[in-house]
Order: sequence, then structure tokens, then C-alpha cells
Amino acid sequence: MVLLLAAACVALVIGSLVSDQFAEQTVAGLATGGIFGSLALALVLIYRATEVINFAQGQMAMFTTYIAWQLMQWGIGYWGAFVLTLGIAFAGGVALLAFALGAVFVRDWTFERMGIKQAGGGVIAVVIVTIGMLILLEGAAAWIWSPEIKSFPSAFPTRPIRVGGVAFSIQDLGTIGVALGSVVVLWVFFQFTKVGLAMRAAALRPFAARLVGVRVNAMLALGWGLAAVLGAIAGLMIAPTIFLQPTMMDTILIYAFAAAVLGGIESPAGAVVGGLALGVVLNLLGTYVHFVTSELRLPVALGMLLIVLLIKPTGLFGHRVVRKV
Amino acid sequence: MAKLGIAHVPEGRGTFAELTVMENLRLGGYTRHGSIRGDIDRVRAYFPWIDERADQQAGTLSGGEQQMLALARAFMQRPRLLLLDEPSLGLAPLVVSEIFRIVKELNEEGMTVLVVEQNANIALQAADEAYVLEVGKVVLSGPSAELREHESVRKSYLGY
Amino acid sequence: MLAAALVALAATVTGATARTAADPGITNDSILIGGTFPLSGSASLYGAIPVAEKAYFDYVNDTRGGVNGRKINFKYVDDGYDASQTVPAIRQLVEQDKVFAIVNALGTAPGLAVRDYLNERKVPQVLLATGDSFWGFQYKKYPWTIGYNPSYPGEGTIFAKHILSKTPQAKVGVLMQNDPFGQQLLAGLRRGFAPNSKSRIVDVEPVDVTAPDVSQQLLKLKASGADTLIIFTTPSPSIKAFVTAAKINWHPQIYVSYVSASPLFMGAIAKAAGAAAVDGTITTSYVKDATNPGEQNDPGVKLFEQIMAKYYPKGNIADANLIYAMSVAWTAVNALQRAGKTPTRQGFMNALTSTNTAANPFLLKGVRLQTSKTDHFFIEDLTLTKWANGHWNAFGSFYHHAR
Repeated sequence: MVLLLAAACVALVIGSLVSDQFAEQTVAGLATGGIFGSLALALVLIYRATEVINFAQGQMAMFTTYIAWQLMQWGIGYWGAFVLTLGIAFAGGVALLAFALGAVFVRDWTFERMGIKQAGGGVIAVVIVTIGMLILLEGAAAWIWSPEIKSFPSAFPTRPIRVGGVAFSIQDLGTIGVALGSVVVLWVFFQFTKVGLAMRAAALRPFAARLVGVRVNAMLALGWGLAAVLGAIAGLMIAPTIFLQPTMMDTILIYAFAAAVLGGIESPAGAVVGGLALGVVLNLLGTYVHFVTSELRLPVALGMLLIVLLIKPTGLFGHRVVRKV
Repeated sequence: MAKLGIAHVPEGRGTFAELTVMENLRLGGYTRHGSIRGDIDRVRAYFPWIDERADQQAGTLSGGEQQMLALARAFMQRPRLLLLDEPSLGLAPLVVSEIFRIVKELNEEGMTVLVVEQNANIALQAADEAYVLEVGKVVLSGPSAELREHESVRKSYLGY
Repeated sequence: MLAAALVALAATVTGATARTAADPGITNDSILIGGTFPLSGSASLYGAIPVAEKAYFDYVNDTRGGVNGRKINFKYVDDGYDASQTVPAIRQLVEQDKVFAIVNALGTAPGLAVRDYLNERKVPQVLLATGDSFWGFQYKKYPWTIGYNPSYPGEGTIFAKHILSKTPQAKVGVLMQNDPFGQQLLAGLRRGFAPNSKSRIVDVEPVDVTAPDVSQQLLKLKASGADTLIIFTTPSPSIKAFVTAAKINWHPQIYVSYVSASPLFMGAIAKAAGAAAVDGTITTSYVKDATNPGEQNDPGVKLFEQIMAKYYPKGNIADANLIYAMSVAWTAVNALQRAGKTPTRQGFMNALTSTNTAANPFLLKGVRLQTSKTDHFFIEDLTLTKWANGHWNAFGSFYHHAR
């Protein structure tokens, strides 16, 4: 797998040296892919924490980006708004989990009172709650801020830099950097910090984690909070290009799902690599393969996904746990 | 429970199969403040095999190694009371006696250990006090040395 | 005997006429009209249109007592820009609410989904908020349907004519939304360049309306050597195209469809990507630009701002859709006035298909609304306009018969 990726990277570099257009398409694809990757990373975090696919992830990202916009409207500077938004996103993610679990609890309690027996279904119920949140957040954003398209400032200068004959957008390079940076930070957090380790333990073996003193629910909430933060970062990175709209994240989320599954739904590094790969492949296919017109982009992406899953069902970076009994 | 100073090694071991051996040990020390390096070194001394397998997934260990890892992880908690549930389950006799040797050592260093064990022979050798349970009721209790000599215990559990 | 019978018959006929109930939606003091709009979902930025229309109707009701003593009630409902929701919404309006007519319902697919139904029931489906040319061309089969917006192919042809007259050597690249909307604009452009359209248009890049970004298309257009970029997409991809062109340091002469040329968007792009990203952009226009300082004393712009302030204070006057909406409402009121003392659906259609006026205060001077039984194209007069100094500036003479 690593060899394959290395080979792909070498091919991209060689192609970029040969053709300016190839280089520009690759960088632009990586930037879009970085957005897919960041959002995919958020999906993976939530999946690892609670085994739930969070359908509201795109809307959470959209909503937090609106919050950043609102803060800036109130006169807070870009970076102040940026940091505040991440904080609010974190709290929102935690609250969303609490809400979802609360909703499931109320449902179970109601059914019990009504004398209806029903077995488990906790995960499905939470998934349905996230779909409800999706609709709710989109409606709320339109209601609070109106559906009008709004511009959004960029963290990076909009001017391009030139390398040889090629013009790269600083914003694109910045987006790629942020996507890679977040996966490195997360990796360090999960591998080397006590809390990161406890989060993994809580997700993998909640019962055993409780035995060693890990507060499992707090860890799950932390996972949702971190995911919301990553979603907010994705929103803040893409908004300068696509502008604010309640529906801004709808299709991006679909690509993020594809990226997450491509990379192996439990692997943070896989999610980001999956996103980057998807972005680059779509751009190059659109440029050099003429039957891949715009309406075929999504089908082609999903087709790729299918092929990878047929060859390697756990995704590029997923692995099965080998266990001796 | 962990914060009360009680460590529990459940039946079927309860290690984190997906995590590495070292990560399992680090999780053992989760509730403690300050450095746990010294204790990791001590655990390595008890179980020398850990050194070369530190980065291996716990799920890939043999049954005996997993039981030892569970014990090591419990030790990392520095508990005042260690609860062991069926530590011998499914393990080779040699491994079982190795585990009990270490439990005994921990006990001699001042850790209270409560073992629930079907292998009465080895349990009675290791323990100071023993209780015999039948269908949820304590039917006999006393110092292990006495129980070992008790006729019904000998017949029912020790097999002579 | 015969005479008596004739008299009796005559009496019956007169009696019947006198007693015939008015058409649905008409009472002694009110007229109810309806429409479907995307108040939610992907196209919800158009959701302000019916609100501005209602504002104009309220203004007419308050200042003139409505039309011929009848107040105009406007019931607009959400279809989420989704034809499958339009069908039940329109049936509800027609069958339960009993609206007199469907006015300015928005979108091509939603309009097509109910066109047969409305024509079968002889319910006017009028002043539609879509610029597909078939609304105008298919008047024989669908006499109860008439559009409003300028035809998309017509706009494409005007762009081609302007390029041929100003920069005949231009190499044109087109970003085309991959649906009938984009295809019609492109067809119009090709028609304008004919017979040399192949050599003029160096590259056409299709884009999906929901595409997360357009960088691949823009980079390819840039690499094709094009020095002129024509953006035939709806607002969301258009904005991405402007921002992306700036991001990749590409500064062609840009033409953009009027559909995506609201001062609101242009201003937002300038704010995000710099004024250079939009300055010099050309589009066609027929409505006044309320943000243009030169038009602040224009009576139409003044009236627009006055109505907005009183009836829709939350609306953003930089949103070109709002002044557009008022021009539609003005046209509807104008036709109702001419539809007879007690308007009938047939009378309303007759009035709409015999419009001939240049007095719509919200449209640019020089735009004449002209229709006939065989001409179902409402707006065929367009002028070119260029973005500079933060607003649109009309230039050159009008193009006529854009269809």
C-alpha cells in the first residue's frame, strides 16, 4: 500500500515537471481533496468514537462557518473569529452527541412506558437523529442568516505564487497544508497523549476502558467535539471559494463519505489520503479523459470506490485485527 | 472503581486487542498522575517478553501472554486491591503457575489480591485466606492452609 | 310561437350570463393569485422574489385600493425547486385555494411539470421566472402559458454579436452548466458565431450545478489559450468561477449570464477576491440597478426603494432579484387592469398577450414589453452592461428580438 502511494506520488511529481497544466491541476485537485479529507477525517473520528455515520457533518461545518461569519460581522478579527469558532464548534459537537443520546434515551423511555418492547437499535437511532439535525441546521441557517449567498474572507492571500511557468494559488497550498497538518496533529494526539489513547480505548472496548478508569462517555463526547472542530476547519477553508450558503456542504459531504470509505472508515490518515487522492484523480480524469464529463464525476468517484473496496474491503488504510484465540 | 484503587482483571482477560502491548500498559496507568515510567520498567522485569513485543497488537499475543498483559496492566494501576477473575482459564499449566508466582510476589509486596479461581490447588497454594463458594453461598472459609487439609475440599476440588 | 320561444331563449342566456359565478379567485373585493418558489433548498436564494412581489401588490392595494376595487392577494408556496413538490403545491393552489392564476412560478423543471395540468384546466401560467425559449415558442400547444425572463439563447447570441464586433479575433472559452439552461445559452452563442462557431470557441467545459468546485474546468479553459471566458452557469458555480479565475491568476474578458449577474454577487466576489476579479465583466440587462449611484434619482429606483423600505425592510436592495420581482408584479397589475372590470382568466390571458408598453418603471429605459397572440416572448430588449466602480454600467444600444 505504501509502495503504491509512493509510486502515485512519484508519478504526480514527474507529470507536474513535464506539464504545467498537469502541475496546476494536481495542486488544485489536492486542495479540493484536502477539503474532502478534512471532512472525511471528521466522519472517521465520529465513526471511531460511536460507530455512527454522522449525516449532519456537512451541515455542522456549514453552520459553524456561518458563526465565524457572524463573529466577523460583529467586528472580531479573522483569527479571533477563527479560534472562537473552533471553540463553539467543539461545544456544539459535544452538545449534538448529548442531544442524540438524549433523544434515544427519551425514545426508549417512552416505548417502555407504552409497553413496547424493542431491542437496541441505538446506533441506527443516533444515525436518524443526525439526519434530523441535518435538516434542522440547514433550515436554521437559512432562517437566521437568510439563504442569500455571502462572501467569506480567506486566511491566505488570494494572489498566486509562481514556480517556473506554473502559478499556484497560495490559498490552495494553504488548504493542503491545513489538511495534512490536522492529520499529523491528530496522529500525535492519538499516539502520544494519554487522553488520545483513552479515546481510542473507549471507542474500541468501552467495558475494558471503564475498568482502567476511562470515562467513556466523556471520551465519546470529546470525539464528537473534535469532529465538529475539523468540520469547522473544512468549512472555513472552502468558504472563500464557494461562499456561504446553507447548502454549501451538501455535495462536498458526499465526496467526503467516499474519501472516508476509500481510506478505510476507521483510519484518520486514510481519510485524508483518500480525500487528496479523490481530488487529484477527479481533476486529472476531467482534464485528460474526455468521456468523464461533469455529470460523470460523482459516478466515477463512486466507481473507483467500489473497485478499491472489491480489492481491499477494508479500504486503503484499514486493516483487520488479527487475533489468536 | 479504578479511582478507588481497585483493579479488576475480568474473566476472558479484557485487554485492548487492537492496541499495542505498550499502549495497554499506558492505559493501565490512566488514572495515575505523574510519571509511570518506573512502573513500566518493573512490569518489564516481571514479564521480560514484553520488551520485544511492546509494539505488537495485544490481540496477536498468545492466551497466556494476554493474561499476563492483563495482569501487568492491572498492576500499572497501582491498586490497593486487585481482583482476578479466573486467571487460569484456558491456559497451559506452566503459564498458570508463572502467573500465580507473580501474583504471589505482588501480594508479598503489599498488594491485596482477591482471586476467583476454579483451580483450587494452585489458588490455595497462593492465598492466605480462602472461601469456598457453592451455588453463590460461602460454605467454608478460613486460612488456606487449613482449607487445604479439609476433607471435603480435598475430595471435591483437589482430587485426592 | 316561434317568437315566444326565441324570447324565452334570449332571456335564459342573459340570465345565465348575469348569474355566472366569476372565475375562481375573483370576489367582489379581491383577486387571489398564486405561485411556487424555492423558499428552501439549493435555490432558496431566489426565495426573496415572491416577498418583493407581495410588497408591490401590498403597495398597490394600499395606495390605489388594488385593481378595479379588488385587492390583490398573493399566495406563494415552497416547492424547494423540486418538480415533484411543485405538482402537489400547484394542485393545492388551483383546487383548494382556487387561485385565479399562477404568476411568476420559478424554475424550468417545476414549470414543465405542471404545464399540461394548468393548460388542461385553462389556468393562466404566466410571467414565469425562467428564460427557456420554448415557453415563447410553444404558444400554440400551450396557450395558457407565457414566460417573462429574456430567452437564454437570445442572451448567448448577443454575447457572440458583441464579441464579433469588438474583438473578432477573440478565443472564447465557455464554462457551461451541464443542463438545459447552459445548453440553451451555448446554443445561442453558437448561433451568433455561425458559421464560424467551431473556430471561435476554443473550449467548452461542462460543470454540474452541484459541483463542489470548478478549478479543474477553469484551469483547463486557461490552458486552452482562451482570452475570453463566458460563464453560462447559475449563481453558485458562477461565483466559484470568478473566485477561481482570480485564484489561478487568469484574467480573461469575462461575460456572464444575467441570471448570475446580481450586484449582490458581484460585490461579494469583489470583496472576497478583489475588484480585479470582476471589473470589466460584461452581461446583458433589462432591469435597473438600484446600486448604481447614477440611477439614484431615477423615479423607478426611487419607487423601488420606497416600497422596499415600507413593505420589505429586511430585503437587500443590492439583490437584483428584488427589482426584477417588482417589474413582474407591475406587469401583472398592468394586465389585470386591462383584463376587464370583472377579470376572467381568458381576459387576463388576452391582456397579457397584447401587452405593448415601455412604462414599466423598474425596467431600463428602452425596454418595451411587447407581446401578441403569436409572440409569447415578454422581454426581448436587452442591453450590454459592464461592471465598474462597484455597479453595472449599461453601454451601447439595445439588442432587440432576443429569443
